[in-house]
Amino acid sequence: MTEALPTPLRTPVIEKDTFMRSVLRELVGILEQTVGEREAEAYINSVGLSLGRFLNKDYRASFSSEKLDARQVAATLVDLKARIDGGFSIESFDDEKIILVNTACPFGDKVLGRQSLCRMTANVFGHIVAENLGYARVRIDEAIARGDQRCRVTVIISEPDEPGGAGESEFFASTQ
Amino acid sequence: MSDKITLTLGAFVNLTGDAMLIVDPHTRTIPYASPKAIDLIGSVLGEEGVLVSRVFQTQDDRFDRFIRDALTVTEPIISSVSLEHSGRVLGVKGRRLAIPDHPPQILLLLEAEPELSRRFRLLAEKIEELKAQVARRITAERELSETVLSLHRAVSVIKQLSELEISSGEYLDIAIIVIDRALNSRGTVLISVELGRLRVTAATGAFSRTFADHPYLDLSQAGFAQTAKERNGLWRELLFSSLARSGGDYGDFANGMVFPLFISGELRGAFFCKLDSDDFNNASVHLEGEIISEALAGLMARAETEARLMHAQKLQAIGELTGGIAHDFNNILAIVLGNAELLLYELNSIDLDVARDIREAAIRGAILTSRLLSFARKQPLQPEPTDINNLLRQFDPLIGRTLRKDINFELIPAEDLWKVQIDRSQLENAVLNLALNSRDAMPRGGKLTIETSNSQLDHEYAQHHSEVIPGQYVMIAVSDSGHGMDPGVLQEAFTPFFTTKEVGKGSGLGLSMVFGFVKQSLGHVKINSEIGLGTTVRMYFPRDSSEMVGQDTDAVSGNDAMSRARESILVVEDDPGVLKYLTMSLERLGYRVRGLTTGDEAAELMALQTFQLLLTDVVLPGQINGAELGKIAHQIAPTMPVLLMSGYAEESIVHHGRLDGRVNFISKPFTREQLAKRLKGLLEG
Repeated sequence: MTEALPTPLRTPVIEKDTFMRSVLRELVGILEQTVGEREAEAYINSVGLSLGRFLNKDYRASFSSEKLDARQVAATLVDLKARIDGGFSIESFDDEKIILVNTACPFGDKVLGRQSLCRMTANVFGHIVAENLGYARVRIDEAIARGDQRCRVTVIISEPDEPGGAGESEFFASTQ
Repeated sequence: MSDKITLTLGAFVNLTGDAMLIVDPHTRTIPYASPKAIDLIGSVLGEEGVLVSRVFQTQDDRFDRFIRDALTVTEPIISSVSLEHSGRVLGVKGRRLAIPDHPPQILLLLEAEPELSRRFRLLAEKIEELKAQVARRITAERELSETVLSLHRAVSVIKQLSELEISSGEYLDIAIIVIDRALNSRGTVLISVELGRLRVTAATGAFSRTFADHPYLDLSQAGFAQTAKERNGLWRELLFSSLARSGGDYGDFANGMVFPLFISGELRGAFFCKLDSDDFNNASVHLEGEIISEALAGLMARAETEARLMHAQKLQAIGELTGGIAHDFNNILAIVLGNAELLLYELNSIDLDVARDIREAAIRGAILTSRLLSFARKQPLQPEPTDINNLLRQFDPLIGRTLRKDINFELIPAEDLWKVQIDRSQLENAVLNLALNSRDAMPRGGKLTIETSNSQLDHEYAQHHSEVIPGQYVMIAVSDSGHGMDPGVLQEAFTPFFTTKEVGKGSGLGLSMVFGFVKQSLGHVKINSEIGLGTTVRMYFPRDSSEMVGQDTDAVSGNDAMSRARESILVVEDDPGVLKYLTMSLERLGYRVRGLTTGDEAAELMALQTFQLLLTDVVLPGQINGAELGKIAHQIAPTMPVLLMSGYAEESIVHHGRLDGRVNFISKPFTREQLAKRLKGLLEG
């Protein structure tokens, strides 16, 4: 057993990032099949909220600011996704809402058919916006996970009078 | 919450049959619970406005964190909760519930924990437990590494300390530099005891100049040791306060380790070391400090032992010198005394003040040499089984006469006091000397107490006093209420010729004599003294195991002894002056005397001629000394008594400072009456 071990004829495609995404995809798949998509979304909501809390703290420290303003929030959402290999950009930005579009999902092609992972984006965006601007209503208009060509996410930052409709998630600033 | 909303919600919930609750986050109460929720949790939910803390376990922050998060989202988040009364775990989903004209509420959906959630939870708990274990192991290994490193450093310090030359006088300065470097200290202070007070003996780093001008602290060793004994931990504060008053700043002693220095079982100082905060909070460094301070105390103890040994050697050297001088001096005195007595005898009708002065001077000289010999432990002792209480009672009037009227004297004899083997006259001298010292220590009067007791000196006591053999002793304590001695005087109290009295008032030999006599009697002597309070000298003599108590000896009176005799005596003495005086004295007493100067001549003569008594010096020139001559005499004439004489006890006639029981001995110088008494006793007995 001491002789040299054989080497593959070509270099395998597997690498750490691909490996981790595959793990995540398989885990979410099992979760959706086992407890249902809605239930799985509740799990991912919880994870997204926790990640949002951590990222908000990190960006506030990076901006040296106790609370981010609207422009800093928009910059945070774009920068954050770029850092994790997302391709988000601002489509429009005014006092009412921020619209972001994305051509590359951070989960890559592993997101296809795993729509519950979109709850990660909704909760991270919603939490960061609400914690800094007081309120966020997140709606995912288009999603690569669903088979669309791109993602399009609308974040309403001014609290409307009427409550959120179907497909919209509301976020409020925490009291502490 | 309005009844209308409750009814509406109730209708929905009844339809789904879910276990649902509404939590008011502001009042932390549960305003609504569905029937299924009441079934699942219990009747406590039936109470109006029940507190969440009565339903769920809220001791840790997990439940509150979930409620806070749920209040911020309209899409449900998921977690688990534990019931307060049973500890049962339930799955829970929660979200914000907006109710018109009401503050936001939280809607909770409870369900028996799904298997997946249960497994996730157990997995998470396991992971947390493993993480905690790993953290504990990392901490333990780091502490172990630090401990090993500290021990290495401590061993290195101990090695360096053990190699220090302690006779240099600067060994403590070097020692704390070594320690300072090992502990990476910002400053060290060594506090030791000097003249009964605490003193900064050496300092480094931040403290190197702090105490240079005021090294003495305002703490006595006794007070410091007492505080440490009675109030554990307070001594540190006491020490820091005192250091601060002596030049430091109290704040300088923050982040400082301080260790007591126990030397020979007594708290005799402390060692302080200022550290960086990281090191100060490191248990390994404290362990290292403890080990090093033990080593430092050991070093100081070794230095003290060596100093004591040197002091003992000094006393021994003085003793030997003194003994030699006394021997020669006695021979001279013998001539002075003898000739003075001859003058008195021959010319007693004339005014003989001058001759009497010579005699008195010679006697004073003899007392002086006797004390020197006692200190040198060369005074031959004639121990007898003695009841010390009886001896002191007989001696009591003499002590009383010695003292002034303003001194109150009390003898406190212990009941059932054990007997001792002791030279009675030497003991009387010792007690008298102590009484005289006490008298002089009380110029304005006071109290002198002589007390006896049985005493057990145990192994612990013997450990601190190397010359003591554990066992039963009889103790005689002579105490006064005089001015006492400071530690410096106390240290030299037994040194010959050391005196605090005015010139001409004391020879400096009184306590030296006591010291030598007690040691020669296989005993132990200890002085305790406090300035302004007085002094107690305790003499310990080994208990006599034999039952016999000696009878009063020698009933022959001087007058009888001085009556005319006719016997022939062979006198052997190498000093011609002494031989001449002895010959004349004995002839005056009526004896027929033959004088010789060597043992060899005497042995030859004894073989040819009969004598009734042999009187011989112990130290003789030639092959045969006095002790050997006595043995030869015993072989030639077994019934002939032999009387040995000497300036001090020679090894040839004594064993451990005590005369062999069969040897007859008289110490030089002696009066003619003393000699006559001994000769008559021997010739008649």
